[in-house]
Amino acid sequence: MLEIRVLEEGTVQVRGRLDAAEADRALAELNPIPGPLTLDCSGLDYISSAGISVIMQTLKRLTSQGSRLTLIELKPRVRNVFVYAGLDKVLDIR
Amino acid sequence: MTDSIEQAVERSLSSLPHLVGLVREFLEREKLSQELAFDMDLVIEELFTNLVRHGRGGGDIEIQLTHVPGEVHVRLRAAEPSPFDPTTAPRVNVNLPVEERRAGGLGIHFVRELCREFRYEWRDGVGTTLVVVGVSE
Repeated sequence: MLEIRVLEEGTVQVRGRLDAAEADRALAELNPIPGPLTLDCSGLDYISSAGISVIMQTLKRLTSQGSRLTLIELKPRVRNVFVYAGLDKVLDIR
Repeated sequence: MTDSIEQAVERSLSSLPHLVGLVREFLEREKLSQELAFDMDLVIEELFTNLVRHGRGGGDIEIQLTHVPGEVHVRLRAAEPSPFDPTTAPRVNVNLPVEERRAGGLGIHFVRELCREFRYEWRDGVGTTLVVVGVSE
């Protein structure tokens, strides 16, 4: 189960599992949110290639608008998935 | 008691939460670390989702998890009218800039990253994918 919650201006908390079953809903919830956007991933337990696709589509949307995306507080296993994908150096991960 | 667990699940993305539960049940029963769950979930989701989205067959997908010393074997069996072999998927170059990468293929790339073995066979209209994940015991 995935939960996406706007914490404050520009910061969104993503909690739970960002998998293929939740990817479409996640993208639909993120799409209306303007940048610059910080995703607080401290509660994100799992991500798959479908979840990575949601993050990359959000990055492309914000970049095309001249804005930016930052990911913070990734758990080690979740961070590993970005490393496997070669995206740890492409994304602003703190 | 057998060291294997096997179930047929609906060929649908809505089956993913059920597969997550199945992995945890298996790890608990085999007294394996729940630390293995993340990598097993990732391998199973990517292979299962590949079948749901791109497979040409119908009907349920059978999943079998087997514990042998030092390894977990994951088998996915699905009816396919012709071979649908994920091991032949083109490799993804994760060192390319994002805009130069072709779409797709990342899921199978994760499977290759996480498995010791990755095999496929097709016989009499049924495709079987086997992946072997190493475990420390």
